[in-house]
Amino acid sequence: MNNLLSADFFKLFRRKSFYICLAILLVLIVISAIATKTLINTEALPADQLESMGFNISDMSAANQLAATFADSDTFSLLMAIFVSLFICTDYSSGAIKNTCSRGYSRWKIYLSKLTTAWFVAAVYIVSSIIVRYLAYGSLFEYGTITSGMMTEFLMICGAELLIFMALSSIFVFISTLAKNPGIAIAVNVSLSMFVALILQLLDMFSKLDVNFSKYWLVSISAEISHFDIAEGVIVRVLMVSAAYIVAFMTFGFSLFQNEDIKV
Amino acid sequence: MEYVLKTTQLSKLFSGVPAVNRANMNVKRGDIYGFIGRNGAGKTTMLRMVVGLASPTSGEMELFGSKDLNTQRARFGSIIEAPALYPFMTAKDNMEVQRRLIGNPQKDEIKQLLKTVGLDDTGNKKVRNFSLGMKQRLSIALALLGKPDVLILDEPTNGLDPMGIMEIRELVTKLNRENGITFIISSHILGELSKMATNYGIINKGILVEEFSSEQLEERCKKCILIKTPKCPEVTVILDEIAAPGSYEVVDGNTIRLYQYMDNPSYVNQEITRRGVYVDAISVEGQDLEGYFMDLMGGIDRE
Repeated sequence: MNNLLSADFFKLFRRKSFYICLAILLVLIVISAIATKTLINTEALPADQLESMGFNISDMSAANQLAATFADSDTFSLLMAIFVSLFICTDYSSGAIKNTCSRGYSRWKIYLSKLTTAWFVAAVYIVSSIIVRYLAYGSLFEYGTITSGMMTEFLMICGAELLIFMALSSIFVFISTLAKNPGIAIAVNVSLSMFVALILQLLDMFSKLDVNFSKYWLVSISAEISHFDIAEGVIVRVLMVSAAYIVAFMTFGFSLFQNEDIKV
Repeated sequence: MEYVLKTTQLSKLFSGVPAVNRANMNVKRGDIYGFIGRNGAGKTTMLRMVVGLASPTSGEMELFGSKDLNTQRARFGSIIEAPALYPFMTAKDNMEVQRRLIGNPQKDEIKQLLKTVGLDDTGNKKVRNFSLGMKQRLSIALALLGKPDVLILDEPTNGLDPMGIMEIRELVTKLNRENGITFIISSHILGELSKMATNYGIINKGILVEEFSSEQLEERCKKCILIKTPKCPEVTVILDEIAAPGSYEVVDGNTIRLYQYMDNPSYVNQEITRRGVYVDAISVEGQDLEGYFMDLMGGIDRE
């Protein structure tokens, strides 16, 4: 397993797309901070309208903005979808998956190694986003004070967000393993991260069922916990939903990869 | 004699149609095993099962006498179909991925192998800019990392120019002779295989029809005077007089092969008839390896 991880991590750090997707994500965070600052400074919109858009203009400090890192989880999941699709499918498009599968490793270990690498990418993107957002808002507004209560809640949010994006990565890895073709995998994964939340919102609006579907989709619940003072029970639901997705898609992925012939 | 590969009734079916049908393949340690068959005969499917890229529908397989296939597969290096390389990496980086994959702590081996295959001066050139021959040689270097006991090369000379083909052949022969690596090489270019193979397996329409050594092949392709006669004992007495000892063999009750006087069969005929023995037919037989294989394949197809 260590050998597989070592090889996968080497490939990861040699991929330009890993750095490009990360750079886009971070640049977008900085642009968003600058845009927010401009919007507030120019008073282009009235304060109450800005508040209704989710800006807490009374406290725009970096400390207070930490939890909002994941408010725009669409972009985050979009970039994850693109990178994971490229990372997994290159092994198939180049045929290099044959080199791994013919060396006597069990298939589930090979799959787990790729999944772990994707989870690592999610963790790197999350940590980088938090740091850049903190620095961007700190330098543009003020850094503010992080109380111990805020830190506890923030760490809880971070843990939950990590689990959410691990779950999303599990789906992306599964889809990519199924598709094998980078183009198809990107199309499906991007569609998943962009449109499922929207479709579920529409379903919630028009469905007569007493179920809020958005509460069970990863991109939606990621945005749901992107602020402090989260309602009781939400984090538990988020953790359970994420864990369920991880277990389900790991199982699907293992059984798919275990039984398939490598035909590249 | 240790077998590195032994299959028993190995089959692979695609939608019920056999791509490999009850194949019994035997490869001994130290062999250069030429695996011959037409396009679509089942060569690649067979090799993919051996290295674990495809699972057999039925049958059994032993690697180094063991049924613990995954453990033994670590002793194999392989190139199945096209070279499997990361195009966005350099030759050295591709080697590094493989080195990490097999857990080989010796970094020096990369430099050494790149030198062996003549790619030590490619520097930062990305694999996407390599020629097919360079990719093929890099694939061989990848497969050689970790000093495997067996190397499986599926159509290794596909798309190579004559110089490239010769280089691969020399490399295979050298590695077999100097490092004792067993090779399983599939190809449909028979002339090329015959220059290096020590053993052969012929597959046709998924059926492994025959296995034989290069000596046996040479024997079968040897030129001779074929004498068809109902009077074999009388003819052998005459041959004992006119031909060197051991220069003929009685194939069956009606056929004798004589490996002398190929340039003068009329003399043999004259000597036999002069002693009052008559033959049904006398002719010079024999063919090159390619002709032999084509006949064999044709024969199989007709059956």
